[in-house]
Amino acid sequence: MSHEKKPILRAPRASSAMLPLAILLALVCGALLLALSGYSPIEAYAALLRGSFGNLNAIAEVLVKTTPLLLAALGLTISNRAQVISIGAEGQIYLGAMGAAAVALFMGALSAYIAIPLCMVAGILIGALWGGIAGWLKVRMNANEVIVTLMMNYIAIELVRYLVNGPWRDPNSVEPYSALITDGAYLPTLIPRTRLHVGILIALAMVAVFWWVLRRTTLGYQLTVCGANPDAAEANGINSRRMIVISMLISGGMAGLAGAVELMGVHHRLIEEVSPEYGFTAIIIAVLGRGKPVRVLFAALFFAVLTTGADGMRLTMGIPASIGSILQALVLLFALGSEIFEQRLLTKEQIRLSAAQQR
Amino acid sequence: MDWSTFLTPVFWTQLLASAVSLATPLILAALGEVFAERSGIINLGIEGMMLFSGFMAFTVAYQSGNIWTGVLLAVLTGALMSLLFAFMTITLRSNQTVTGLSLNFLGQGLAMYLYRTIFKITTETPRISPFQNIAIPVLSDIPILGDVLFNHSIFTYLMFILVPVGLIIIYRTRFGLRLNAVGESPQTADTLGVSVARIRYGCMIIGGALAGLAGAFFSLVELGAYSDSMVNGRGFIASALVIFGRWDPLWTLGGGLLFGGIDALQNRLQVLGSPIPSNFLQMTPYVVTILALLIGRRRKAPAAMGIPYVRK
Repeated sequence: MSHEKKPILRAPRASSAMLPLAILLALVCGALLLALSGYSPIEAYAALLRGSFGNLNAIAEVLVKTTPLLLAALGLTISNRAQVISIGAEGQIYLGAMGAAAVALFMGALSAYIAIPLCMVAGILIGALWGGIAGWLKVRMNANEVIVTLMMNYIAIELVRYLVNGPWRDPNSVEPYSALITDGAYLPTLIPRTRLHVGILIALAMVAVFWWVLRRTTLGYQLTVCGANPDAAEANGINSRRMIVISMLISGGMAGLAGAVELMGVHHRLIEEVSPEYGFTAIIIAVLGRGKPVRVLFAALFFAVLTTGADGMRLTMGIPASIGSILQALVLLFALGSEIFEQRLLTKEQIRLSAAQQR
Repeated sequence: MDWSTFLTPVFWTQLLASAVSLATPLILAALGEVFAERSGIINLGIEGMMLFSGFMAFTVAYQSGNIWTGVLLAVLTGALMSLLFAFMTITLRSNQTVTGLSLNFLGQGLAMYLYRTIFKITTETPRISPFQNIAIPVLSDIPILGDVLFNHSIFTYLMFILVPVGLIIIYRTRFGLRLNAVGESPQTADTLGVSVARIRYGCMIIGGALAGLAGAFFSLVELGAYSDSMVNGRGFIASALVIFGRWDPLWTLGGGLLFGGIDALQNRLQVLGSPIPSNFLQMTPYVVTILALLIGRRRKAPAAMGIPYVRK
């Protein structure tokens, strides 16, 4: 046997077969639940598909929901690579929207070329700050990042509620809303008479950026090494504590950007419910995306279809929209549960490969 | 706001009594999680388990007209959900943090979905008559202390009994010895003939049952109804409480009472119309949780916590 020609380890085909299987199993469980609660599963899933692909408006709505999910999940991909589990995206989305609103509400009339980037930078910065605090507390004080980021969500959301009920509240509005932002900061609409705005293009561009960062830059390499094997990282002169803080800054910044884009593209004012739990769904998407930006894109699209379709099921059949979150949780559970089988197949394939090599 | 209210004994009696009551679900859930984490499993799915168990408790109590069947079902639901979690993390060795999160999504999604399909959307919220406080004869007549400690629902008394029981199990029994061994050094425990998986399954079921009981507290004691937001992060606060409580039942009890006290105080301040905006007062339990994590870090976590065990 030759030592020079080691086979390059590639993911076996089994790993890509597992996710569709997980989705299928989740849909079957969902069908059972629907049938048990008196709805026809076939009709319900048809309503899901109609709600997400039925007409131009439905497709646009899927892409509107994909935008924040994709932006936040891409950021979480970075922290997942460094083996940091952040649950903080939800709060960071709220703060990102708040940061963008602060610029767009109080900077007066600005040209779109200045207002839009400025609002985005504000959103990114405040999201990064919020994530960075949690990262710093983890490396400095050894505080569990899961619980810290989660608690910081509640703090961020209360802060936004305070602003829209108090100092930022539009006196002419019955609801707790801020005033509308300056129209210079509105993101242009992509398809007329739908809510689809250019945010989706920004999100798609970020997929390319993240693919490049993870594949081609030292930072991407260092993050991966530090997540895979902290000791080896240290031995190679990579400061893993620094990597953790950097990854939290990036994931926070991306969630902040998601919030800013949502504010400028969809709401156009700060409201109490900036995000219908996009930040939490993004966590599932990032996990299913396995650190690969293109895979994250498909997972985000799929989850946007589920969420939009769940709305369709509610509108046409009166099925509670939370069926969407149940399906999402089931996909994640089945995907997690199948990992061990995937690893076994991987080991088998390795054995087969090395046997083939010895022959 | 009238600051002189703070000087009356009535204020303090009410504050402390409410602290003990608010601490009850936190301590129950955290006590269960102490078992799980000591055996090496970290379950961040408590929030979803509590909500779904609380929902089941309410639904069964409402349909059967018997509040006790609600309690029983909540405990069962919690245990079953933790069994699913145990199967995923122990047998299938999936990542504990992410699995815990998916359990949250599942529990929350199921509770919200089933509540709407079972009760439909009615104009009036379905209600049951909740568990009443039981004043313990003689003891509840002690001034101040009587009202603070001896005029509570059955859940609180159960909590005060379960904490010493937990202490005895963890420090004084064979099972306790084994669960600590499994959490600190599963390899050694396995070599000595202790089944790591079986101990961990057992601890998870204890944890789930107690989280279920805690969930029932919200619907059967606090509200007498179900609400999507009745747990509102308190499952996660219970997780933090375990760290703050140094994986020890007694410290957890103390920490839980402190948390309950802070929550009770911010509630009172809101009612009394404090000059601090209510949104900031509502932040306090979450801010305090972060602070508690920073203080609680002095003791080391069980060595094998969060790591799936693979026999070598």
